Amino acid sequence: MSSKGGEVRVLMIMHPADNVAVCLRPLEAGEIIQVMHAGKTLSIEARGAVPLGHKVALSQVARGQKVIKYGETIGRALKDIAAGEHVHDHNIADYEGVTP
Amino acid sequence: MTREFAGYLRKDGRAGIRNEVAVISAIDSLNPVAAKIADLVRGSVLVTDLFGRKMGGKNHAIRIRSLTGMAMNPNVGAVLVVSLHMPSALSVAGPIAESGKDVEIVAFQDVGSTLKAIEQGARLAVKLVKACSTQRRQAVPLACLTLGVECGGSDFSSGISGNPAIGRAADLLLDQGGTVILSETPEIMGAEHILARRAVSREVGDKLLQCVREMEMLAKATGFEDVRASNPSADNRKGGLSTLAEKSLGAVLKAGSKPLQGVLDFAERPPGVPGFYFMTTPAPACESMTGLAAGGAQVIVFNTGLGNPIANPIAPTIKVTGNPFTYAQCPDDFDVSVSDIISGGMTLEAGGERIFREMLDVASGKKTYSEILGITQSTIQVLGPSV
Repeated sequence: MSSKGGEVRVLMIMHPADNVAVCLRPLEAGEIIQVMHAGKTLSIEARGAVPLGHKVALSQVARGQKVIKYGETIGRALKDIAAGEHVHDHNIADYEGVTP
Repeated sequence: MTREFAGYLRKDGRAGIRNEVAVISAIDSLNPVAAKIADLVRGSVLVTDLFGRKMGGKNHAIRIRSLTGMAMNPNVGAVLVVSLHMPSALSVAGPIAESGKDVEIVAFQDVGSTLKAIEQGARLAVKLVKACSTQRRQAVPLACLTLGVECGGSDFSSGISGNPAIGRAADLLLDQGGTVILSETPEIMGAEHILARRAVSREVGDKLLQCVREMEMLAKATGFEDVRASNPSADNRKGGLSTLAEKSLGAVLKAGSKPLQGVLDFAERPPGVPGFYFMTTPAPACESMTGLAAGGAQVIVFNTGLGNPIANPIAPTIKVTGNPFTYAQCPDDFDVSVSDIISGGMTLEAGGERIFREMLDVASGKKTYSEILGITQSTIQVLGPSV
């Protein structure tokens, strides 16, 4: 969650267990963003445009698997989601509404 | 970190962060008279509600508990109750007097005219302000502080900057033995099971789930669409919120991370054990903050992403934003900005400490913008119509 050397932070990860990050500015398709996550530097390539405030996947999330933000389950993947993909209501839904 | 603030110690052992005379209108038809009195007398603060006659059952009980609760808030030094007649005045003034707080009454029908009621009320309020003003602030442990946490005008920033930073400040207060109250039942729907897991007992967790069920039944009975189906709203979705759980988790963050000690009814005071509490209230900010202040919160921290000017008259309300665009547009609406979390690499911990320090300053007398400008309103939850 910390930024290094005063760089402007692009992705915000709310909890070490999360598999999504929030974009602090819009992302363009193909952009590569470095982000510290659970002690490791991840390199995330945006697989499409992602608007400000929206989520991007930090790792692959298979269909039916949990989407984690704030260290809690916010929903399940409706289809396979690749790392760097925009995560929103087109590919996730409330936990209870989805059969794994 | 400072463990004390400069407050007004009250007879019951609680401590106020302000020392004002509350001019309380016990009935809607006397609201303008009470407002004239409060206008005339510096050192007084107006408390009104838009209803008050011919309400029955639980509705009536909530109203009395709210008015007396605001009067008994330790921020209030003494009380003037203004009403149409003596019985309605006594229904509010009685419990206040029993608590040991100085209370005076103006009953319109006993005084006989509007101008006489204003005159008599002003004289009584002047006398109360004069007496209150001899009280001095003294060092009080932070354990005496009850913080209400609120958010309104939520947007993409709320759940990632403002709310989690307020949550850090809430945890700092809880570490000092203080109390934190989260409210707004519709705003926890979708995350209630997660919050219930933080309860200190099965009983407390069950009570929380019951509150949510009751609010859903009330919503349906009132003709609202299904909250779970209509949320996140189109605006929420545009801002990036995908599910109800995500939205509600972002709202719950502002109460910190400690165990849930208990669940309170609207305007109910926590039972003496410090810690984190949930109070069941509707979502609108005026009602929610009225419940918090009546429940004894001396200070409220209010996060708003898009902007919302309202504050509570009894509990000074610290306005926070975590949205850099909103802050740039209206910096003089916010007592604290933590928008650098989004735009400048500020950590949530640093944001939380900034809010905590402002809260200590306000507890010791620093004015909030909404206090200075008088942008305050009390509104009591209504469960049914008057007849």
